[in-house]
Amino acid sequence: MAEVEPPFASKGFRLLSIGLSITLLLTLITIAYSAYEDLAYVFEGFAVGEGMPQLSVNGTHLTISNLKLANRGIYPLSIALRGEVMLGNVDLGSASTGEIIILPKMQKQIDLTLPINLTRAYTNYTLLKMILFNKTVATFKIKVDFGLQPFVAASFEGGFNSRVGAALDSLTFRLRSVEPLNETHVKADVEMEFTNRSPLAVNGLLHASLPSARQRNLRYVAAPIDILAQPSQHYIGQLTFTLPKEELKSGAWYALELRFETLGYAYEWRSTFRV
Amino acid sequence: MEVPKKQNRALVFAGRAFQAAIFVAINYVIFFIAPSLFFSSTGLLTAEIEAAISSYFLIIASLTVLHLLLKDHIIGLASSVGLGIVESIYIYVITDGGVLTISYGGFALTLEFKPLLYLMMAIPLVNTVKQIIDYVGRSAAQPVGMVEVEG
Repeated sequence: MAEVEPPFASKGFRLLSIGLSITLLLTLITIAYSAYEDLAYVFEGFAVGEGMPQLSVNGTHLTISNLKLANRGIYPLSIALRGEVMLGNVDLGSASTGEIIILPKMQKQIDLTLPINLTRAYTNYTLLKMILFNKTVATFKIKVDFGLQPFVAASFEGGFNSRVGAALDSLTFRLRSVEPLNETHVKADVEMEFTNRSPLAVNGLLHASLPSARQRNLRYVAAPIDILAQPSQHYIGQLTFTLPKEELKSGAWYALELRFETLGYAYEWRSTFRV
Repeated sequence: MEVPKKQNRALVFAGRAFQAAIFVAINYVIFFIAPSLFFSSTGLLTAEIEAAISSYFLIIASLTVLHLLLKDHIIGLASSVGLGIVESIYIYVITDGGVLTISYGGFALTLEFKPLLYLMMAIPLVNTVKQIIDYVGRSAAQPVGMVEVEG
């Protein structure tokens, strides 16, 4: 019996099928090659310390800079960086570079600056207390979208936690000196000191008052002090009270009522010192 | 004349069975071993994925055998069409629509490869269309049996 010739459409579909298979195979090979070349560049750079991103915090901004990427593959490499900073559960800020396309055999430097909006933290009273007096945990979330256009897109999401020290670490008050002003009153200088262990500058107005030990509802108010302490700075300031001579007794503990105002928000607390 | 014809048919079926065994082995590598290895090495292998791989492979293997053994029969064509469709669905299901997420510790890597997925799905579907055209072509070329009707 004579062999039946397959129809023309069948031949066409066979060719199409073979063509698609070859295209798929070639695409997979070239994608694998491009991914290998691009990843090899990144890891080679990291191994010798080149192209390593630098992370810096300057009080109002968090910057990831000097990230150098080169596309050694065949396909255009697209990359987008997105960063987010959180303190406790409060989102302080986020930023994105948008999509950056690096053409084959090209290199680009990527910088990302995140504005840190502390207003969000200061409106949360518990968090403000934590920032001022306790160690907190800052969370940095990074999302990297990259792709070999137009075939593959990948998204890498990760984060790391960083301990943030107290802004008013080891805050202490001590009576520095007592000088007579006149026959009835004295000038009492109360020294305050702390170290700013946070990466943020401490900037605000401190109001202090001293309740009378002898008379109810009587408070002696010191002139407010404008505090500006840069990260890691050891700050020493002085509160000056004018008090009746008989108000201070040697060996007694006195309570200070304090109010710290920063960026329109205030935190109130009490502290003590001994005469 | 009846004995050599039967022998011929047996030979044809033996050949087809051998061909089916080879194709089942190839399909075993492509549709069972490769995805199992990929999912287990990336830590994505769950009981559901394992069950899906096994069930789809069983269907693909059965349809491959039926298609190859009953090539000239309508059941062979139906198996071939079913095979192409099942393979396409399997590729779509197992790759989660071309979006795979690998999580490790606090990090997550999401891979999206939809254009490649459609290319992978197109190949069995094109083969399915080709099988239908082949079958229709063969049926059209069959000699028509003439029966004389006595008046």
